[in-house]
Amino acid sequence: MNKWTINKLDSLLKDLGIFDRRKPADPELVTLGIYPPLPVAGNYLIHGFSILENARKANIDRLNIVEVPVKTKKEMLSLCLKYESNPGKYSWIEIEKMVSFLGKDESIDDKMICLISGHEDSLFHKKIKDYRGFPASLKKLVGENLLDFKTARKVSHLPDEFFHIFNQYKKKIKLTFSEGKIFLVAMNEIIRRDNVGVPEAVRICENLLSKKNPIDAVKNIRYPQLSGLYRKLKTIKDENIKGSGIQLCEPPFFEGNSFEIRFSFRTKKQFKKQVKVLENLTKKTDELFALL
Amino acid sequence: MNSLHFYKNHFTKIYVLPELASHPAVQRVRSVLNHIPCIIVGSKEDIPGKDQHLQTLFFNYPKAAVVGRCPGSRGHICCNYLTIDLYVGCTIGCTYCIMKSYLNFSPVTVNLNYEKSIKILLKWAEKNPNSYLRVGTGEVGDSLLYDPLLRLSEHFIHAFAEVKNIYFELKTKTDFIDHLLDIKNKGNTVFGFSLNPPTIAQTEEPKAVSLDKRIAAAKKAAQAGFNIAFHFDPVFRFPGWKKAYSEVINKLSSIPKEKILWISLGTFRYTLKLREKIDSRWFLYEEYIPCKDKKYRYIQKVRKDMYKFMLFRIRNIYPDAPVYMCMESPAMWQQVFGKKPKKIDNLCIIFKTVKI
Repeated sequence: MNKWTINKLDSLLKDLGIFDRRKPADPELVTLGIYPPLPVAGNYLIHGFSILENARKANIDRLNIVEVPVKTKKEMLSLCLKYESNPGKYSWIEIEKMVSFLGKDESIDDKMICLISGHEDSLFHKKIKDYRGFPASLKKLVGENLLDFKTARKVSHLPDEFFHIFNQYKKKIKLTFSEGKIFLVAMNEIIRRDNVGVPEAVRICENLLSKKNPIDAVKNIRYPQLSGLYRKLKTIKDENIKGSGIQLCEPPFFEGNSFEIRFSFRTKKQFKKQVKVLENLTKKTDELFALL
Repeated sequence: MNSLHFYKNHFTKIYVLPELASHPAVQRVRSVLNHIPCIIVGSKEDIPGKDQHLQTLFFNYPKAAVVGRCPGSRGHICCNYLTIDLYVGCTIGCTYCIMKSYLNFSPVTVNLNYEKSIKILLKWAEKNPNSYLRVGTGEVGDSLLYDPLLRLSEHFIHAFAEVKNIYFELKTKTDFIDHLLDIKNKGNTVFGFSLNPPTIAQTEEPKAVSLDKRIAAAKKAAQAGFNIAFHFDPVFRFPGWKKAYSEVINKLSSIPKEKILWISLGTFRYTLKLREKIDSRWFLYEEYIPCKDKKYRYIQKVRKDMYKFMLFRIRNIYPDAPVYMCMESPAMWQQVFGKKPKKIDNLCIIFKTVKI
């Protein structure tokens, strides 16, 4: 183990340029000299940038380093991943950087896949290939963990303009992760079902996202019949039981043969009123059962 | 489709348990598929991963009989069918097939312990003298796709020939019936043909024979004295579906009504696992809802209209044939038939539970 000056470390070594977030080193421990030695290979500091950062802040001028006998980029990356020890938590942006770092001559092997994913994954290379082929704006969504890879793959044939618009609105209207997913999957199915071209797809996307409730809006188009049933039921409820304290519940997804009525009352007067409302509702029985 | 040509072009390797090497069915297959290797293995697990696919044929001899009840579906009415897992795996390649979600990485397996299955079924028949045992080999594979080569169905036909309450069904999307036509004592054997309009058959049932060939085979089987069943399952909804299915039903009029033992209907349904495998098929862009058995089906109102339409058309041709729905909810039975199957004259015997 050697001691190198911070200046030497700063001037000579290059970052692997992969990780977005590093595990923070405890500044107090660095000040006390309690930290793992920084692994150096050739011109690269393989790990320990936060130690370096804290040392600089604490005006420490020398740090323990170990010159590791690794030669290839693959060996460096493996070592770096072992130090980082964050399997399954790397973003797709980081994974893509790992692939770029290795270049054309070297590739990620099974051991490294375990260090990255935390488990064996025979589809790893296929996933990387798919990710690299995603439209830029979709890559951004996945890279920033705003969309899961599986959903991204489903919708990846959609044009970049589409995801560009989606990205813009997603931030503006604050769609949650799961709402974003629902929206994209439904849009994808609408586009495929209706054989919609690129300009039209972008227009529909923008139009729906600018609505008050984009998720309801996209569901209305994706599931017109089911939405129609819910609308009809709502009309019946609004016209007949609204404000009465009576709840009328349909079977889940209108799959079944009965409706449920729920109500409670505190006074005789209230009860009488509810019974009257229910009597009126019986006139709508045929309309109700036509929904099933 | 020429069956021999199909087998020769399809299978690439045979695996067989040591004790089955001299079994007549294995011998027959080896003489026909003499261009591909036949390897002896101790068990299915010994088949290398690279050969765990549907181009491999595996002869197995399970210790227990491979008969049982159709698993049914939670919250749905089951038609009381009994199944024999004789041929497990199918290479017709129907896009909608539920087996896609669990059998794709297995060889086509032939369970040669059929004597055990026969013995158990005979016992069950005796135990249920006042019920029909409807039993078939078409649950986890096509009953006839490999049968001209293996000739296993005839063992069942012969064994059940004198048993009045066993209805042995061979369910198929092929026309591979010729090897069975000359059997003299046919008993209650039923040839069941799965039907879909040509547009669906061509795109979604890639290696099945054409609709016309299936119907021609049904006619031939009926003329030879066999009973016939038809299965409209899955029925798809698509632009022009009414016309397409009406045309199929109209073509059935050439089969004498007294030969039709039952007709089943089932609209397309899928599990999430299957959906993952077939994500881009056009029919998935219809509207489906999750049902009690975690399968997705068309909206109830839509299904009701589909069933009513199919039933109406079938009744035009076969006014009295038993028509039933496969894996449908009690609510749907109520809406389509006005009552549950056990209360319908020509269905109550079919749906009567068999004690096993």
